[in-house]
Amino acid sequence: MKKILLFGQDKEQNQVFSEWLKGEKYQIVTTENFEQVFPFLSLKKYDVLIVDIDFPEIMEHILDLCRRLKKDQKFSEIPITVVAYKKNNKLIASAIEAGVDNFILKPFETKSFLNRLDTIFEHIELKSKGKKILDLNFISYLINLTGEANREDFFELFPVIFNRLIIDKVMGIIGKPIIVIMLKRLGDIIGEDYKFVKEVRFENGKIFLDKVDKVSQEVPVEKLVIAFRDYLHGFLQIVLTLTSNILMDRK
Amino acid sequence: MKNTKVTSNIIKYLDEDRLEYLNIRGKPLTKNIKKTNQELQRKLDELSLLYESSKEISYTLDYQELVSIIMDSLYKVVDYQVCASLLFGEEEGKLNIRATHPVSELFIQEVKSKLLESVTYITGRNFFIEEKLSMRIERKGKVQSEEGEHKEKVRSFFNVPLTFQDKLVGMINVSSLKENAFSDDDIRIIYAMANQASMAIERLMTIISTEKSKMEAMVRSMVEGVIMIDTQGEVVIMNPAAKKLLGFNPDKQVTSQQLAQSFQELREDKLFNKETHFTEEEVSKEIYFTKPKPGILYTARSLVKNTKGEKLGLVMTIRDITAEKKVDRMKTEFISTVSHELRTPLSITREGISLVLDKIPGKINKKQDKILSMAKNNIDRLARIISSLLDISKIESGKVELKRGLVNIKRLIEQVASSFEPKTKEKGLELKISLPQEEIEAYAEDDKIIEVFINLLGNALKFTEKGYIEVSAKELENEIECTVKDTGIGLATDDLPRVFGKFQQFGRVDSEGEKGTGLGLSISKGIVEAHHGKIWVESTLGRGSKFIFTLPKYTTCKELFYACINNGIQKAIKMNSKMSLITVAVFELDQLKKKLSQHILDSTLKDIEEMLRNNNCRTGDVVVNKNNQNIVLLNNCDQKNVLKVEGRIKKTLDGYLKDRNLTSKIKLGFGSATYPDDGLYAEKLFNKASKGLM
Amino acid sequence: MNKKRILVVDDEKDFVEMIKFRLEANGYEVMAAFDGIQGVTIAKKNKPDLIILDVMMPAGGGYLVCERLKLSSFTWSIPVIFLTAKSRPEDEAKAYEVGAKYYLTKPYEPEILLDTVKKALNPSEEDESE
Repeated sequence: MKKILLFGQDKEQNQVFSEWLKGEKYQIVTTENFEQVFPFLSLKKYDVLIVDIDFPEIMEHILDLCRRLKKDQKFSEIPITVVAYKKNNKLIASAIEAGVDNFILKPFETKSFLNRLDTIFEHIELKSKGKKILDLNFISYLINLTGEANREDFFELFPVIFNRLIIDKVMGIIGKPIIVIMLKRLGDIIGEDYKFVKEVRFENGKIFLDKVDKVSQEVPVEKLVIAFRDYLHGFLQIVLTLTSNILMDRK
Repeated sequence: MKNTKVTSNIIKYLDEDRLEYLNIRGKPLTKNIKKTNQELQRKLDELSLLYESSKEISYTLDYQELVSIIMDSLYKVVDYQVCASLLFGEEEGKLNIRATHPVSELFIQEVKSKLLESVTYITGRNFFIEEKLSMRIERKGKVQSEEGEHKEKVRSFFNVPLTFQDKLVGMINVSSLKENAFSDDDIRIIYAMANQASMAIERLMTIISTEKSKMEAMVRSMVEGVIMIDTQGEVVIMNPAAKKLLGFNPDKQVTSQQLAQSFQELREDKLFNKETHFTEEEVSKEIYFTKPKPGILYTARSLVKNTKGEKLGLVMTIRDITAEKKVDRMKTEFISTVSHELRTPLSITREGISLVLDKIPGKINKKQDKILSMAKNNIDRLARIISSLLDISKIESGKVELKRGLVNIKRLIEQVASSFEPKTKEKGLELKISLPQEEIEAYAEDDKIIEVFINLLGNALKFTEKGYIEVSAKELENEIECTVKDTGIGLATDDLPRVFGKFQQFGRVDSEGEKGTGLGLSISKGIVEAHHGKIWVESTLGRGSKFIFTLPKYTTCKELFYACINNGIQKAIKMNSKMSLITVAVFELDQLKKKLSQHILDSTLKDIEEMLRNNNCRTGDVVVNKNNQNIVLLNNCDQKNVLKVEGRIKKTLDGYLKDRNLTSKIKLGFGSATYPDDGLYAEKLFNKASKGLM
Repeated sequence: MNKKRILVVDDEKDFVEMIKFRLEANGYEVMAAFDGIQGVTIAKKNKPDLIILDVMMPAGGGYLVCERLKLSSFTWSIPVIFLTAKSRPEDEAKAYEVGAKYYLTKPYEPEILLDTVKKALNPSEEDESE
């Protein structure tokens, strides 16, 4: 039985969730009180924390909580899933920065919600076996999102996705020097068609797209997305050849 | 009297100042250049070494070591079945697969494929089809049979990249049959190891690069021009001085084509390019140039080799010696003119006195006879001084060219000693000769060595009143040592360093007889050093002196001949001409020893040598003989001419054998070779000329 | 028997005097010239049996004179002895190249000079060298 702690300010919403998740697989505890989240976590062992973040007033607090949890050794392993409105790119970016592991984006149907949850638990399982998971499906989804965004959002969201969801995960395994070489290589290949890609900066373990922004003022955001999607896939392809410890979930 | 005036003029001419002028004014040019070039050579050797080491520490080479170490340590840290490494440079790659457990061929192929795939993705070079990929597979245990193959899959692996200055230079793969065989920590440790090693190598390269910069800065600031080209003819180093001397802009790069062109314009195409072959020794050449103003460049060229003896390239130093040459020329002309000017009045005076002594203009009385005899002796002395001066100045300016051959030192000593016997006896001294049983042979010019012995013995005789004079020679490991020892008045320690200087005379000369010029030892020193030997003295005041000199030794026939041939090659290079050699050998000497008496054999061999010498009427041609082999070196002789000479020699020798009825008993072998047509090294030329011999 | 006639060409008058003394005392007739041009002229006119030639002279050094003598049908067969203060092997080699028979250096030994003169005037007593 998987234990889920769910927080959401909307009581009714929470009840709906509980209904969906009733059954043999999951045991779910919900709370509308933000103050209770931390104590609940401390008392009992939960497998997953789901947080509905669509409340602008407490958004910062929630993110702060996420950050703290990730820093604390006792709780850092608990995957945090955030439920949010998909058009809220800034929120998504901030959440990823904060260390959030998964997203379930509104609006969604019951089935997709449940499927998503199943996937999340699968990943947890695999992780316990020592594999690192890159949720490619999700990453692609996020990238597509950025495509529907404006320039500003793109330049905010993409680096965050790349840095936190990909580089952070692989850095521990493959090390900085090779990442430098890989990024340069990608810059050369993708840069043949999309010159602005060559301006990607890699510093202190993160990529920065400030220069890219400068030189691509005339470029439509759709093109940016295509280029960087290729960039990202290229990176992942190389990563795959370097180690069997990273699993990429394409479901 | 007219004669006295002439004589006093001559004497005035020879005062100390003028003599000093003769020797200081034109400093010994070649010697100086040689010394500077030796220092230069040392600097260049350092530079070449740095260049060599930076080339050697190309990442492929050192990474080999590194990879071996990593692969060995990996075994202790991580549990794998196969590990593999790929190292690559610009041109080629080395793949090494090490299976520490028995695995199937399929497994190994999968490992290879995973490794190559990764490298291919990262570098963009398709290593799957690269031809220059050398592969090595080490296995422990037998290859697994086909049945188990489906079980043999690479279930976990990781690839550790090896980087150098942000470039990928290699990759190590570790693979296992088991799932999740490698933890994150395992991988982290190994990556850390690889990184550390990379950093160490980068640091080393930085140090080398700094040293190299220092050397390059030094070369840049040198007054002499320095050029170095690699085996492809590409210019590696060319300092501003070299660029200027060859007419280029010192601030711009000079390409190998431009360099080749400038040598072409100097009509020295073959002197310095990637095809240049050369002897092992340093070759120096004077090149004449015409623009902007006519002048002479002194160039010295030598090989650059690495520690394994492989050729890395050529290096050349250039110097503008136009001014120095001018002084040298002036000096030579001066000496020549002065000696000529001195000799003419000398000969007139001498003949004048001789005529009167010979009573040709009429009878003379005893007193007149005595006076004129003294005068004549002194004229002769003057003549000797002038000759000595000429000699000394020739030797010091390095212009003396030795006619070297194989000299029997024992015989030579005996010869000289016997000529000194009467005088030694007259003085009541004992003349001892101390020589070993075996023959001692040196590669030298016999006349010059005789001159040295005469000088040393003369001095010994002059300065010894009682006791003995001993002449000895012995063969040491690398040289031949000759000694002249006496029990005479000896030399003070303070005087010892000056004894080989010019016009030095020590001690009173009590005896009659020839008075010295003060130049004898200086000339002896020049002769010994021209033979690449050393001369020195051991002496204590009142207890006699021991003068010792050495001559280099050539132990084997080949060494000797190669030395001669190399001399010839050097001369030919200097004079830009061809050189040929002819070998004449007597076959089967051992057999002959049985067939003929020792006497006949010896005299025949001697005669053959003699005839070869007489056949040569050109100065500069050399005959060297050892045992039953002779080589004749002909300067300025091309292939056509050498064949002519060979034919002539054959005819002469055949005739000789016929006359003595030896044709059936003694067989001669002939061969010839020409430099540079038949070869560029002594060995090659000698082999060609000896084909069919021995 | 006629005396053999020797032409001495040398710009040193004293020297010519001395050598004249020596040669005449040994039964030769001696003619003198003091520069190159004079030397060639006298040689062509008087056809001496031997020419003794110095090198360093005005109006044509000894080598030039020897060359000209060897090129003229009047004088080519006259043997030439170089007698000069120049003693380098190159100098000697050059002398032979221009056709000299013998080469002596100053100062000379009177016996050697007389010997060489004799040899030059009586070639049949000598072997032909190459």
